[in-house]
Amino acid sequence: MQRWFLSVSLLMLGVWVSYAQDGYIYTSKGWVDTTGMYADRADSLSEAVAVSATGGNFISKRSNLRTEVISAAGLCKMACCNLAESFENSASVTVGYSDAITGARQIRLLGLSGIYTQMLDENRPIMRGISAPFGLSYIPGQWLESIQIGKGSSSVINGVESMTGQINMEHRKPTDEKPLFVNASVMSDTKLDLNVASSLQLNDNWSTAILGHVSGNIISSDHNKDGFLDDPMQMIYSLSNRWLYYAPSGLQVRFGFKALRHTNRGGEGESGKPLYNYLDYNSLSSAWGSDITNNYLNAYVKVGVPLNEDNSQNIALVADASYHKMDAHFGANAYCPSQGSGFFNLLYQDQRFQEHHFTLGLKGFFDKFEGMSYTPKVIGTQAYEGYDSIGNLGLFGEYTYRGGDKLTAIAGLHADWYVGDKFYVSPRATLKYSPIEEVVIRANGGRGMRHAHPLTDNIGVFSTGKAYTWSFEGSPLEDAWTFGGNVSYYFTLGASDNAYVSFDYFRTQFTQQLIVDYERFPNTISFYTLDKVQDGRSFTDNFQLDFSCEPFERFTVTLTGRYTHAKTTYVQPGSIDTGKPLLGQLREKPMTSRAKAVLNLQYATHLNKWIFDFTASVNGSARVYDFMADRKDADGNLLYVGGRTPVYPMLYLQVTRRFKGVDVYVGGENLTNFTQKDVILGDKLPSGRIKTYLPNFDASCVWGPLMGARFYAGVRITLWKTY
Amino acid sequence: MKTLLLILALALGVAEVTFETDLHCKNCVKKVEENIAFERGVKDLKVSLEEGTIYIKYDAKKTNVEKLTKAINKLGYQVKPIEEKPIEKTK
Repeated sequence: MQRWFLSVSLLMLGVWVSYAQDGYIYTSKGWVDTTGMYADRADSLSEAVAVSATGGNFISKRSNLRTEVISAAGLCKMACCNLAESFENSASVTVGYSDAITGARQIRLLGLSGIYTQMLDENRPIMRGISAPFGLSYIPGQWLESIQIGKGSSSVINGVESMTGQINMEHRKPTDEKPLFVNASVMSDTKLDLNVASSLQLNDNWSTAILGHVSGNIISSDHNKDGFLDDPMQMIYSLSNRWLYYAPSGLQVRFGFKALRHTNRGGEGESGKPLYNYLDYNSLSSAWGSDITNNYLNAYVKVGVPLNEDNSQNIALVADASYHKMDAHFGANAYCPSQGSGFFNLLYQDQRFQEHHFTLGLKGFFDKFEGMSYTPKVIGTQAYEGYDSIGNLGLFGEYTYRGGDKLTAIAGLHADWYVGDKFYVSPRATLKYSPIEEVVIRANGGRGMRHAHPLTDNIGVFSTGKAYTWSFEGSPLEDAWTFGGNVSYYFTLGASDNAYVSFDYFRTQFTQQLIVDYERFPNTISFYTLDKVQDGRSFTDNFQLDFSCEPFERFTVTLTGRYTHAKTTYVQPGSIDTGKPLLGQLREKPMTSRAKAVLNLQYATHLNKWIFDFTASVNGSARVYDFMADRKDADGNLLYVGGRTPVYPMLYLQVTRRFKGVDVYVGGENLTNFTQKDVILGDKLPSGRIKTYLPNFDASCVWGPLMGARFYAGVRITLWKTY
Repeated sequence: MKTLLLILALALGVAEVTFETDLHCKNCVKKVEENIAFERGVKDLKVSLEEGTIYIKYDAKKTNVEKLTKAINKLGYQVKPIEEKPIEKTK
């Protein structure tokens, strides 16, 4: 508790008076919009940003890419303590755990791991490399103004690392008229969250936002009595400062920094406390666990220079630098990599002609690594040599044709030279057509490429006793094509003139992919690439149907259904490397749910003084690994009938009471108290304790919720600027 | 005329006013909605960015046009009433 008291004291910031309106600065020329560095960028997620703050989750009508927007109101429907939890009521994005030990969250978009989704912080790529495993927990939900989830092959302007889509986060702005915002919440499992934000303008030119966050739990629990903590003991401290400079000439400069420290201890526990101590660990007698510390620093600058008075020609530069150090201990093993990254994007935009827009640019990434090699202390394992650096330099161009309100066509090309590899060209195209105002048809396709990070992309592998085998070196360059489209029909229903039905289909097809195979050899995780499999294929078909309406005033209904068909060619079990492509078998991807449906109901009383949110989701079955198919419960019944996980529901409820400047809310998550049984796999001692020193120990086979029902209460205090 | 309207509003209990305003962005709308809705006596509030108006239905025994004007001015927006009328008895 002392730790908490100090943290709270450190976060109570001074309050200044601000002279700005959200997104606008008052100058001698009147009010000036500073919200976009990339104004009216074709296919930009920024186009979807300027939307009503009262909408919850909705599909943007304006954006060229199929984009689901989670607005500020949507971020307040649930606890949404961090970015991962903000997706709990989205059917487009599925949230799960990487393993049962570390609390690392992972998402799926279009049926594929979140590593194939480009994460953007106001159009700057983030959560790359070793930042990926815990990155979703490092963005507090209350720091955000909105989230845009774009499906498909997005604009080439942000590069081509987006293979299934992009998720862009808009943070609270320096020009917000909120000198002070405080959010504090507590969960029944003792998890505490505190966020403080302050936006102020120092004068006509300079404004800044300071964002602080502290979260963690005082104690953990072991409700399923398997000897392992359900949730690790964690503390996250995070501080961010963002600046905006606006000159009368129209020049805009945004810069900022972020610092974060994360400590995490999980595994076997007693009385709610972890027992693992990596300094004094004996595999036969000591408690097994994980002890992870992450330290992260980031700084960025964005400069926009108008070349003419109406800003129809401009040059923009984005530069970003970050450093991440991870110290991770799992049982007898240690993995302690570091990553220094640099990114720049220089672009020229020409929008002088109403129908024809052009963008040209030069972009580069460079990541310097240390400590990426790994040799776990497991008999039979192979060493992984790792890699020191990856990088690429690219030229890109994009042309947009706007045929009035009815048609937008975008064609882009990205030409990249990858360090130590060759030259690649990635085309992308998007078409948006509205034959009538009520109908929007989108088609989209293109190529995406990214470097795989075998261990940090799959951090769950550390929570096992298994041996690893490797059939490649370094960091494979994954390559995929995604095509798809969306049809949306808007109509008047009840109190809403913007009710909609929307259907979309996307297919992602890999030509090269890192495959993590748990089924090739017993008690072994095999890492190999798709080209090592004869006629290797890996693809995902994703279908989604959305419906939204307001049957009567202040009552909104949103219903979404998603079906995913994901298959990969895995090598035949038992196949030994021969230097030639191996025979494979095309199988459903394991641990990937086939379907999901989400219903969200919201009712607000007059003037929104009371708001009631209810979310129900049904999660479809997934194929389990072959070695899980015969597992039985305590009564001798098969846990996975037909080798598939059960269909399970998740219910969430929240009630918010709003006063002037103060919101008080209480809620519950997973109200049916459904949890995955048999989470920790392995042989047991007579005492019931898992033999974590054996190669069949596996705590990474997670398909469902690990935490049962939880309840929370919180308060949001907003001090608005007054004159 | 104004005095007559005020007397009538007090007698009948509920009144409504429409202001012309200089709101210029959606976040301005949000600021007004999240503050004025909780002003004493406010029973209904509709803000239209397209028309540049703020409509308020209020309990004339608890507040009046001047107090509402002052509350909106305090948020940084200038308003001018363009329509006022008493409507019904307070329930």
